[in-house]
Amino acid sequence: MRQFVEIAAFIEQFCQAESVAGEDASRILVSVEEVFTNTVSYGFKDDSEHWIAIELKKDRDALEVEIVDDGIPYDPLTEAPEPDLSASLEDRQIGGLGVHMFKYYMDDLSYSHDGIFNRLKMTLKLDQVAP
Amino acid sequence: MINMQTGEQDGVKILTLSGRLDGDGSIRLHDRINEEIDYDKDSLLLDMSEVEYISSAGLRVLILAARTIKNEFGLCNLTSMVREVFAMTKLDSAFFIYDDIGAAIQSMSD
Repeated sequence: MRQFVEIAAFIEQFCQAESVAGEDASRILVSVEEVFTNTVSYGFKDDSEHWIAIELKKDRDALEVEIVDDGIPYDPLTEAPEPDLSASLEDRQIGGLGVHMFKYYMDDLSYSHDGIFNRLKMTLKLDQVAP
Repeated sequence: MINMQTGEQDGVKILTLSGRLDGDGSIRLHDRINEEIDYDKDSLLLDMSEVEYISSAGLRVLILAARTIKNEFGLCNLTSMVREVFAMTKLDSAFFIYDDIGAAIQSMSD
């Protein structure tokens, strides 16, 4: 949780420097928070040191995020449980909501595993902001 | 970061939130509700007018609160981003959501 505060600051600074609109920055932040939290909670099964790398790249009208980690192979795009959105409050499962959220926000999602690392790429098409 | 102010109106406890309902903010909100709310007796209204960010951790705390507060639990003054999250997760019909404090208190107080 504490590490995410630093990551959030990094993402915010990047978005500010690149003139990304506040709401778009929030969409990216939430998406990264969801992926990061899932990876930290479920991806590392031993006590050794692990790492997660987050790379941001901005084009004229899109921002690409790549998240790489050395945890257990896991594709959130196909392996995450589908949340039952019709369930009542009492029956709601929280698991799956995070993945649902970043899939909703982000465009062009792709996952790959190269034998060592999980790589998740997602792109946000940015709203045009007047300079 | 999240800031919380407690108030009360017509027997309804009001928590005014400001900041992010992310992983960190949700833990603080959860702790604050635990400290201040009697789950059996109290009604709680969350004023969300200064919450522009909510992640699934935030949703978890709200869902838990709705389940454990026996009396009334409501949300008001949702910002557009939070409304969007509630709509995409279809939680907008699961919670009592009010346009403003006045409407909320009218509905929630005895």
